[in-house]
Amino acid sequence: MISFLIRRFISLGFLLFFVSILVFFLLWLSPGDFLAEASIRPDIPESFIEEMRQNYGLDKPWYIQYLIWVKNAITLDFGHSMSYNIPVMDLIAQRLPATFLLSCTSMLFVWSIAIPLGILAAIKQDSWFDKTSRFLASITMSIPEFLLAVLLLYLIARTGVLPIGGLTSVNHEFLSPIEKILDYLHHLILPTLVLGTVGISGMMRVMRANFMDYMREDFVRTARAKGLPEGTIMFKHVLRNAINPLITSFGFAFSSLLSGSLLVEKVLNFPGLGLLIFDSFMKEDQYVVMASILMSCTMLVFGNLLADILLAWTDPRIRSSAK
Amino acid sequence: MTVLRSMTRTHLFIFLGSFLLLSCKRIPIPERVHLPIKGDMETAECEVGKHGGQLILIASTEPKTFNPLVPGDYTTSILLGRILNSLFTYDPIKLKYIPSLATSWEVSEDKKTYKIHLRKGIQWSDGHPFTAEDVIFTFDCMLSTVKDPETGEIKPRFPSRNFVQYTIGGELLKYKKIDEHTVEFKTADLYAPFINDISYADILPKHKLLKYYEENSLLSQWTSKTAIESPQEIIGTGPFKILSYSPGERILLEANPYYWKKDKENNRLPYIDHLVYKFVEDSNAQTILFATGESDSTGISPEDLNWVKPMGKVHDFSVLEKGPDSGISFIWFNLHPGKSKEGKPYVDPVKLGWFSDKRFRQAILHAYNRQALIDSVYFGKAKVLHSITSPANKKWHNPDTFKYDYNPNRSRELFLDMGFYYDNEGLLFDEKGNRVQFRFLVPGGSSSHEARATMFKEFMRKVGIDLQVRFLDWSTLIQKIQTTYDYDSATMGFSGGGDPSGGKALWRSDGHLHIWHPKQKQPHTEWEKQVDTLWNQQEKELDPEKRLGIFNTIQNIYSEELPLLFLVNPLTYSGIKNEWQNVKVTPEASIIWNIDELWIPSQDKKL
Repeated sequence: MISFLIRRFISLGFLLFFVSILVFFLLWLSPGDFLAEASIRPDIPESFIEEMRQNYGLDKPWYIQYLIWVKNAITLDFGHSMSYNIPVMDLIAQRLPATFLLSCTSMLFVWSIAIPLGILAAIKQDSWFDKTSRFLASITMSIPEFLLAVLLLYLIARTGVLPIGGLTSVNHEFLSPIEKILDYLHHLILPTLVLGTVGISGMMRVMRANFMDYMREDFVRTARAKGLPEGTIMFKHVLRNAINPLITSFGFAFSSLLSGSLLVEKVLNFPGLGLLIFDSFMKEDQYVVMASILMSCTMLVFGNLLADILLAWTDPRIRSSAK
Repeated sequence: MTVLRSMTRTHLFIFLGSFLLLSCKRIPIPERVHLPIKGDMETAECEVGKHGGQLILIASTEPKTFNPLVPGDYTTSILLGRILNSLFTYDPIKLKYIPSLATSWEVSEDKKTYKIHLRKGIQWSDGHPFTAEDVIFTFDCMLSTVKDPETGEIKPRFPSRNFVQYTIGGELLKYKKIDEHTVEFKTADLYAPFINDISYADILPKHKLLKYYEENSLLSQWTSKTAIESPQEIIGTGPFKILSYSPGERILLEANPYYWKKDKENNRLPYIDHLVYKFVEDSNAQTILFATGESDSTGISPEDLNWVKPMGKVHDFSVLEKGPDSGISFIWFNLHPGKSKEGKPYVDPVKLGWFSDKRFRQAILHAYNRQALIDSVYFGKAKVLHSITSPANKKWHNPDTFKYDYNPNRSRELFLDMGFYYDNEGLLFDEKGNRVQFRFLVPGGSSSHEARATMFKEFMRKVGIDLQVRFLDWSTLIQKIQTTYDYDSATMGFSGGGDPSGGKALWRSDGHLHIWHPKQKQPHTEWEKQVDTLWNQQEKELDPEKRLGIFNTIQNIYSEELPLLFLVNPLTYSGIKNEWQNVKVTPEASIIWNIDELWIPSQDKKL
């Protein structure tokens, strides 16, 4: 187990190195730099642009810039955002809680609904419930996320039940702690619904298919022959087998916890990381780009690691083969 | 035993109950403080209103910084305009500079020394008195220099764009304190737009920022982080101060209890208690928020007019026409005669020959049906643009410049005049038999740019020219026009307004935004030389009428020579809820430019 962890960490190091060098190089290849936009503003003199370019070190070749960045990054100094003029980590920390909160609620929403529904659909195969859920799942899966967001937004705007966009109300600062929490929850419903709906249908279908595969296995027949209660067979034996692929997908879902959802953020005006990262890509605010990419890389590796550990826990076969 | 148990249960209930009660307690919204009127306050000429209410506005981007010395974006400049003041301010109705932190100025005999009298007895938003020290400190921040220890070069201590701006007549502006409420500025040469230029500087509080000045960390103060964690640190003299900032969501401002303006009945302005800017990036979402009554005011683009206007009946707002946009949009040809490092000419010499001929550029504009563009892309809500200064800029726009109507025949005549000829199929060739064709760069991603490019191609086809449209992303386009110069023609726009002295980089041949041929060492053409001379003249021309005359001449030269082929000027519209009083519409400023005078009769609109 320890050697497995060590190997994972070493490979993470290499991964981060190659990804960062690649991203830095690609950013350098792309035309213009952070100051390009300012250079066509009539009110900003050219000598000032040159001065800024020197201050940011943008006049140096890309590999020198990269080396300076690596040197600082090792001491956990990821540089300053050029557009906000504050450390990158501070900037990301401003937006992180909202993104994390939304990712958690939508993941919780998806898992707590998709898994039971999938199991139910598999057990009651070909019943009216199974048929309707399959039908609904096909529909929601074929609707693009943004359309769903806009449709929901339209419905909400019509009924006026939920707030349109944002994470808090205007008077949030002056609410009591409990009201603050309720205010957050109230604002989270809509984005959670939008992000979750598409996920539910996909995950539910995977769960159903897997569950049905294992229900036909020999060990189920054996268990039935031994006279085990149906509940024990389904939830102790079938479920544990059927959940494996979902745990793998959990690893990937984990990596997206902190990446934010650009689309939902833009349409629902949610104050997450997605828009910030997108803007910094467009403006070539390079240190913000670097930090966000490294963050999602690390999250991906950790997500997979977590999934592997969970798999070993649920599946004794993996544990024994690892030995 | 049972008694004891019920006792504890009661206690538990009391405990839980009081906990719930405590946690349900709201933090009271700070009541607005009304301080007694004192000091040398400005009396607003507006109708008397009532205190209270909140104004909800939309900003499309986040403020990048709250430090006026750091280049920010549009939202930064709007917010700083609410928090800080400069010495004078431009009145978009009277079209002249009016007192702000300064009350008046005196010019010396030689017209180079300006004595500026400051407002007495007013305070910063934390109650600290405002004096000449603050003004001197602000100019120290912008203009003090240090010697580079390695090269010995003199550089600004805190590099900002103001350093170049206040280098007048080749020397830095000189300034000194006369007494607590008087400062004196001295320019090295005659400089007509002095009051205009001095009004770019937002005055900073010395008592707050001096220690960062001494620590050399001034440029990393007043960031977005400051606004989030300790908004009370960012103080000013303007009508509002920051109450709280939630990144990605909104910034909440409250009335500055020390603001230096009052109404005729001695009520301190602003009338509004709270000002909210919500950050909404998507322009459609901005319009929807306004149309559904979620914001009080917004700009509305011509294509949204038809569906937004009727919503005004439901949500009680009006859409007002503000007049033409203050910016200009244009097409231009690359006239750069230089060569790249590899010795390759930037522009194909054959094409450069065409482009450099004034008749060619005029012929292209004659072939461009700008009215058709207005009818189809702008739904008729735009005007043909004839000058380098937008008609929105009423004071400086010259309405009598050369005009080029849509006239393809005139266009063909001009080509024939240049020695070009048409073949049997109506295709245009130059005198050496080269097919007339060129590339046209368009910033991609904007539907109006795409529509305009398609129309331009069609207009060119009608006069026998093959136009090859290329869509590029912003940064690539900027690189081509600013660094590598490898293009034939392109389209873009500039924002504008106010005194044209700010447009030096565009108008003068040595400017970096003289985009058809930037940064010329010597004026390359006769007319550019003439413009440069006129430019120097106007800077020294202290008679406003004569100065205006010089600008009219310069505009005429531009319209005749056509280095920029002016397109159209869209009309702008703003919506505002009907309940707001004292709204004054002018094309030169936003609809809420006099935000300190706006007020609302109903008082149920609160946080």
